[in-house]
Amino acid sequence: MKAASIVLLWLLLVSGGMFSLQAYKSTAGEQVPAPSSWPAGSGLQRVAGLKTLVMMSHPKCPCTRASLAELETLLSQYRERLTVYVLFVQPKDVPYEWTRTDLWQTASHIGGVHVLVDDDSREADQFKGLTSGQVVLYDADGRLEFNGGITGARGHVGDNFGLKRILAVLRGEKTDRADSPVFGCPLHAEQDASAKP
Amino acid sequence: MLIAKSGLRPDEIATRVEAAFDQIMMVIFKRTDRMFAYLMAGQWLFGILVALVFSPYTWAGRAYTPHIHVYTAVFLGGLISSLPIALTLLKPGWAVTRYTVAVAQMLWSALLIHLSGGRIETHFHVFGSLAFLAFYRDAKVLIPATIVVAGDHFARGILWPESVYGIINPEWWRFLEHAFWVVFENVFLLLAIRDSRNDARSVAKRQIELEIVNATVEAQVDERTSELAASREQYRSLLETTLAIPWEMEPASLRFTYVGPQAEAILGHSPALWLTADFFAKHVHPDDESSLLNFQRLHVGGRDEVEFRLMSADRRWLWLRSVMTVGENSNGRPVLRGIMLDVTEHRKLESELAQAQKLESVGRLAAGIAHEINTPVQFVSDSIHFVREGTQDLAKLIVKYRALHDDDSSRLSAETIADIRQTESDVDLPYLLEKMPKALDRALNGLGHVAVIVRSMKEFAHPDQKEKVGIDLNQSIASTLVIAKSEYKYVADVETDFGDMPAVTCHVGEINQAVLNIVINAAHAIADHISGTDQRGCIRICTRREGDDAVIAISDTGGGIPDAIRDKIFDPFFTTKDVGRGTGQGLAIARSVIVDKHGGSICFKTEAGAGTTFFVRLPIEAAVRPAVA
Repeated sequence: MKAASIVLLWLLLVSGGMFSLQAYKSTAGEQVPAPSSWPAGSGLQRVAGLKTLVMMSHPKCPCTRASLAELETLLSQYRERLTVYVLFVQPKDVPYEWTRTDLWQTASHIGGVHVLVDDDSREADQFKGLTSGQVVLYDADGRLEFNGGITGARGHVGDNFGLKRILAVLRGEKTDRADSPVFGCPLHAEQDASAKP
Repeated sequence: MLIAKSGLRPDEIATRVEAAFDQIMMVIFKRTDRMFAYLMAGQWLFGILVALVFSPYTWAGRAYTPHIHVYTAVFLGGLISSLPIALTLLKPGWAVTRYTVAVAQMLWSALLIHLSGGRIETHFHVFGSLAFLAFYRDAKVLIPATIVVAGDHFARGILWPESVYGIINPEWWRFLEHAFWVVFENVFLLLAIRDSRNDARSVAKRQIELEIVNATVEAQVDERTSELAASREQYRSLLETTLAIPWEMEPASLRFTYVGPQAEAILGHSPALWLTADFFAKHVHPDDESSLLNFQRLHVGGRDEVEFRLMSADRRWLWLRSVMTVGENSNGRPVLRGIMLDVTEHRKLESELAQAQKLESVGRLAAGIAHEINTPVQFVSDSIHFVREGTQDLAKLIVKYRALHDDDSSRLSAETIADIRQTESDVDLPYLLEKMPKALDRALNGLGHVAVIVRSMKEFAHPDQKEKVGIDLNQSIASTLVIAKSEYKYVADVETDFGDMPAVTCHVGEINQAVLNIVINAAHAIADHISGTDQRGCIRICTRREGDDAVIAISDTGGGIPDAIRDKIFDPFFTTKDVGRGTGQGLAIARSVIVDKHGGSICFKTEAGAGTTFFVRLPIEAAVRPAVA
């Protein structure tokens, strides 16, 4: 009986631990609607006739590794039809090397991706990006087609709503929604975030 | 067949097989528990490493805090590993231990998938873990593992369907699609476990069969060994406790290769000495060296018997009779084997028996000679008597005739008278007239002695009648003294003191023999005591009646009987005399006659340097028929 009680207690504890972990990983980051049309203040260049996809990332967010993996999956099918920017938000007063992380290297090795430093989050702010891994998709005319994450949980690769929806958009299909939760680290510290629009 | 001989019933064998199988499985369980203990610890460390490498921090702008993955790896990972490790250490082989291990292992699969960001490769940990769990060879272990996997998918499918299936509203059975592959692997694992357990059961069965066979064989070996040991002990005991000396010898070199322990007991030489190369040649009597030829002449299968003398350790020659055969040793070489018997005493007895038989023959002859002598002695005695009487008469006549020639009136011529006187002078008539009667008296006396001796010998040698008869014991002793005179007359004087004695019922011949033996012993004792001197000893014989017994006391003035042999003098063949001077039977015969045949007793008192007195007590019986003259 004593052994059974210990085992049962242990089962409850580990189950609770796994539940908590899963709950955390399924908790999306902060998100606001992106501009419905291409922001005029953005310095990013659009290519005529191509849709433009922008991923805003924190250079050190571990969850973004999964977002980049899903981006690469997406691009393996639709690279020719997109202009893709991966912005790595660089806070003020950080050295050059702070942004050149393994994520930067990973993004740089994805074919057809423009990897840029977003100094002080200027571009990310244009698109209302708050959470690392957020993706916005604009059509050739500059109309917003998708805003959200392309992973199913924090740091998790695999089938997910966001990827399915953006793929549907790229295929010209109808989707239930044009957004999805973003699972990643905040792009800004809290005090910085409160100062942002 | 050996299993059938073991006496075990089939159900007993089956029980033992099952117990052996359980033992084998327990070893497997414990071994696998140990493996998983190490794996749990390794996975924990690995999980922490993964968390630190891939997701060490959570960021917000420039600010960062340790990622929840790190806490998860350390604490949740530690929690997952702790109980299985504890159970494998405290309760190895326990069913609960391996079921807990199964749950923990699948939880580690889930945790590692989380820590690695859901990498497809990490999902292989699930299938690999199931295969590891199959090492337990316990199908039931796969049940909790499968439940954990299915339960995880089921619960997340309900709570966080996108995390599992990538869609919002999966079908209810979608979790089964994921569980299917687990079940698919389980099927093959179960087949492998079944086959493995069957193999283990076969091993157990063979092990038990081998144990039973070994036990049966061991029992048989023990039984045979005991029988062999008992048989060997019996033979060894027979061989080494008999008086015969078992031996073995190389015929070519005549070297003993084995002698029984009796060899040392009988001859005094150590077994090591017996086994030296030239022992036989060095210790055999020179006159018996030819017997060595007997040893070397035999061929395989031959038998022979030979007697020879060997020198003992105390420098005595001992006669040994050896019975031998020729066999082959383990190398196929001929080997002599046999037994030796110490026949020294036997030879001695043979010699003494021959001497006794010779004496017996002489005794029988003496009786016959005595009988034959008696008649002519009687003739001579009668004749001498006649001559003695005639001589007396002639002497009277001669005196008358002498008176004639002395008388002056005789008509004989002077020449005739002178011739007569000359002849009287020549024949020394006075001397003859004086000595002839004395000579005849001495002759008669001698004949009287001869007659006494002959009569005594006749009496002594007279065969006893079957029944005892009453005899004059004093007369019988006197006759015996006559017989024994030649033994004592040179060394001792005999004194007799015969008391009044009624007729004593006995076998006179045997009593005479007993008295004779004691008197002869007395004479020999005196002879030994006075040897080298001009002294004479004394043998005194007294007879008395004491109640219903006749007592004969025979004393000598010899040297007495030494302490060391006083309890042996009545033993048959015991003697201190040289061969030919005594057979060692005298006192033994005397004792046998007096004690066994007449119900009497014989004892002695002795004093060193003074002499010995033997006391013979015979019962007197009143109503008997007198002895035949």
